[in-house]
Parts: sequence; C-alpha cells; structure tokens
Amino acid sequence: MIRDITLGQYYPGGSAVHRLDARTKIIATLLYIIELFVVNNFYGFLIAAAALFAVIAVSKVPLKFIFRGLTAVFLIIAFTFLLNLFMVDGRVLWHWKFLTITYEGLMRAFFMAVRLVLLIIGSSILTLTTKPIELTDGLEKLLKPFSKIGLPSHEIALMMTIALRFIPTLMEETDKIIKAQQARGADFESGNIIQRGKNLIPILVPLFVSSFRIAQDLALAMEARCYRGGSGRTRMNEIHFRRGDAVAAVLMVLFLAGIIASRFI
Amino acid sequence: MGLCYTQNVNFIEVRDLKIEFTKIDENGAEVPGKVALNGVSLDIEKGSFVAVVGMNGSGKSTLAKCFNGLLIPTAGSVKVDGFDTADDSTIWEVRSRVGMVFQNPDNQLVSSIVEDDVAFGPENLGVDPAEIRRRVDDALKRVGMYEKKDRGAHMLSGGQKQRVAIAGAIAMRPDCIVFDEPTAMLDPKGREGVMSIIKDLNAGGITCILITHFMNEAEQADRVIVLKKGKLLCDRTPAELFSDREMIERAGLEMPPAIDIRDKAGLPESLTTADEIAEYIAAV
Ligand SMILES: Nc1ncnc2c1ncn2[C@@H]1O[C@H](COP(=O)(O)OP(=O)(O)O)[C@@H](O)[C@H]1O
Ligand SMILES: [Mg+2]
Repeated sequence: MIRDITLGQYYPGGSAVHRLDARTKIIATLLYIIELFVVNNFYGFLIAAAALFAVIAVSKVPLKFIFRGLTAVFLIIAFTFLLNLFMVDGRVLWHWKFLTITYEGLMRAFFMAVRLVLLIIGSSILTLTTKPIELTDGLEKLLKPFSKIGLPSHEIALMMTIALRFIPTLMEETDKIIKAQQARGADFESGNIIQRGKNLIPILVPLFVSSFRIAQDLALAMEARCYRGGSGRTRMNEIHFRRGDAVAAVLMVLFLAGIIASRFI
Repeated sequence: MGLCYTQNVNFIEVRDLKIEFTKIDENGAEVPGKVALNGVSLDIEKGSFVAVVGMNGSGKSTLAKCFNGLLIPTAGSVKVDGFDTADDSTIWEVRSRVGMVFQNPDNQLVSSIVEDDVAFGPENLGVDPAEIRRRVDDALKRVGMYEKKDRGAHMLSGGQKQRVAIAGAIAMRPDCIVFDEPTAMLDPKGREGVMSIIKDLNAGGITCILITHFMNEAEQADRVIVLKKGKLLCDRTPAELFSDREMIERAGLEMPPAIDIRDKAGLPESLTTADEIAEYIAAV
C-alpha cells in the first residue's frame, strides 16, 4: 500500500504540461485547490473536473498512474464522506436508531468527496509532470522575495529535494524492518489501538536510527561534492517562462472566471 | 626541459598525520577520545592507482576523509596538489580536485533523478549551465548510465546507483577520486562493473585511491597501503605484499583467492597475479 503513493513521483514525458515552467504549475495548482473550495454547486464541479481531465489528456500521463495516488488515500475520502453524511442537520431522508441522513448532509458529503478527489488528482498532476528538481527550483524562486524577511528559501527547497529523494528509500527501509520484526513473531495486525501503537515502537526506533545514519552519510557526501549553500550555485536547467506559460496563464484566468460564474447559476 | 627534476609528481603528501576524535565526558566537556590515525606518512603519485587495506576499524575511512579535507589533521599535515587541507581559504580547491565515492549507494545521491544528481557537484562549483550539461552527459557515458539519465534513483540496482555516484564525482572533473569500499554492498556483477570503471578512469589519467577489503581488488592496484590500528603497517606493490604471508597475517588480512589457489596447488611462487596464474594453468 505504501508503494501506491504517487505524490512526489515523476512520470517522464515531453508534453506541453511537462514543458511548462514549474512556477506556473505550482501557482496553477494552488489556484485550483483554492477554487475547489469556492465551488458550491454541481456546475462548478463539472467545470473543475472538465478542466482537470483536459490537463490530464494534454499531459499524456496514463490514467492508471493518476488513480493509483487515489487508492492510497481512499480511506480518508471515505471517512470524510461518512462524517459529512451523518453529521449535517436538515431535511431527513433516512433514519435508523441514532443514524440520520439528511438531504443537506448527502449533498455536503458528496461535494466534499468530489472536492478531495479533484484536489488529490490535481496535485498529483503537478508532481507527475514536473521533475522534482524543477519543482524545488520553482519553489525556491517563488519564495525568493521572502528571503528578505528571513525566509531561508534555498534551504527549504533543498530540504524538499532531499525529502522527495529519500521517501522511497525510507519506505523500503520500513518494509524491511516490518518484515524482519514479523519474522521474529511480531504482530502488527491485532490488538486494540494502544496495543497496536505499542507494537509500532520496534519499527519506529530502527527507522529513526537509520534516518540519522542516512542524514550523516548524505551530509558528508554533499560536503565532498563542494556543497556550500545556495549562493554561487548554478543550475544545469535554469527554469524559464516561455510562450506556453503565457497560454497557461490565460487559460487559468478563463477557468477562474468560469468557476466564479458557476456560483451564480 | 632541464628543470624537470624539480617538478612535484606527488599529488597528495601526508606527513605524520594524526587524527584524534574528541568525545564528551560526564560533565559535558570535550575531551580527547579515540586516536584513529597516528604517525601516518605517505605520498600518492599523480596518475597512480593505490589500494588501502586493513581490518575493520584500522582507520581506512578516516584516512579517506583526510584526503579531501572532510577531516582536518589533529597533528601533522595533508597537502593536495600543494594546498594544505587545514587551510580554510583553499578548502574548495582541495575538494574540487579530490572526488569521493562512499560505501552505501543509497545514502550519497542527493536528487531523485539520475542526471540531476550528477549535476549537483558542478552546480555547486558554479559551472556554466551548458558546460554542466556537457559534463553530465560525458560522465554518464563513461560509467555506462547515459541511457538511464531520466530514471528515478530509487529504481536502480545497487551497482547502478554506485555508478551514478561515480559519475557525480567525474562530473566535477577531479584529478583524483577516493573510493571508500565502493563495492562492499554490491553483488559480484555490480562489483565487477565498478572495478572496471575505476580501472578505466585510472587509465584516463585520474589518480585513484581504492579502499577495499577484497584482496583480489587490491591486487589490481599499482601499490597497496596496509593500515593496522591507525598506523601504517606497510606500503608496497601487490606482488611484494602478497608474497609475504607473514605480513598478511600480521595485518589480519587474507590472501587473494588466486594466490591461495596457487599455493594450495603448489604452483611456482613467481606467479603473482591472477592473470599469470590463469595463463600458467591454461598452458599446462
Ligand atoms: N566520528 C568518530 N568519532 C569517534 N570515533 C570514530 C569516528 N569515526 C571513526 N571512529 C573510530 O576510529 C576508528 C577507525 O575508524 P574507520 O576509519 O572508520 O575504520 P575503517 O574504515 O578502517 O573500518 C574506529 O575505531 C572507529 O570507531
Ligand atoms: Mg570504513
């Protein structure tokens, strides 16, 4: 299940979406997420979903990859759906003992689930079509203006680069530790919550130790490769705004207008 | 060129090197701890291929870190191409000349994508983007990983990751690369690949220092340095070292497999390398 998380995985390709400046894609994704919370009716979601699938089509990323990210968070979506379904007051549609489903609750639960699904697909398109290094370079450039007020933009970007690089490594490590502990008879699947929590300790401790080991090794390797902070560094692929980014900006404005208009339908 | 005799052919000069780690005592004060190296003097010639061997804990990795200023001598000195590693103002001169490849293939790649990782070193040096591109492509071709340049690092095998790490060092265009047990965590096929790259690089003029606990690897070097408990035990050619069983035992090492076979089969001791032995057997 751990392996199914697509967030932070890059799908190599040369599509128009891949070629966009990472900054454009980051801003577009943020705007999209905000707009998802502006939407309040069926038409808005239709526009939002259509826009998303248009982007997916252009990006040529197989749907299989995109939906794999969803399966990992399926439980969260289902939980949110149920919570909304039973917790909202209004016109009663169905009632049994202490459980009540209202029309408002059903609508709210449905919208919230759609919102989450679109949000997750939207952000996985960002990471699927943007190389990790471009993503973090883009972030660094976007945060640059804030370094005047003391925000360490280069360090934040580097931290993200390293985190993205080591997520798979740490996951493999976790798998290995779990298997090793299971081979010794550890049981992670039964018992109450407290018992299960306690059972996690033999996983977390070795994981912590190996994270420190990795950090130590990596710091040494970076120093050996002349890393000395962000100043004076160059980039193999400088990111640049191109014509495609202007087109994307126009489309973003149109989309925003559509979303706002949808509220008045 | 009448002045040739003054030319310095030693790329690295180590004199009376001592490394003492500090530790924190009960009161939280820093006190002297483990002495990892003591009184080590040696020279590494430009273009040579030197192996460093010794038991676990004998100070090999500590010595490796002294070659590019990752560790600064407690006493004595290390000079790289004339630059003292203890001099803060020239430390980047030293590090850009001496590349490093470490043991664990997983823990030394910084970026998720192969080519971006190889670019990390030249980017740190402030090299021009077009030139970085050239160096990265060239380095990846030299280690046979050019076709995988867009791959995710976590999709590679251990041997492939190690080759990417070597490309990362090559892309900085160093004069010398120090390999600290680069094959220890690899399978036999990965090991062979890394060894053949090291020999190619050396043939191309890069000074190579290989720390290893595989004697058949040490056997392929021009010279073998043996460490024991932080001291230099001996510094000889592989042929000299591996004809001296007593020295090998004293260092706590093993004979290369080929030499072992030679002695068990009672073949002449004049055969000193695996190739010579193989040829002799084939001829009989
Ligand atoms: N950072 C450190 N702090 C304290 N002791 C260390 C440190 N690094 C290495 N040592 C000690 O120095 C000795 C030599 O270590 P090392 O150079 O790693 O040996 P080798 O690579 O030959 O196995 C060992 O006894 C080790 O425990
Ligand atoms: Mg070591």
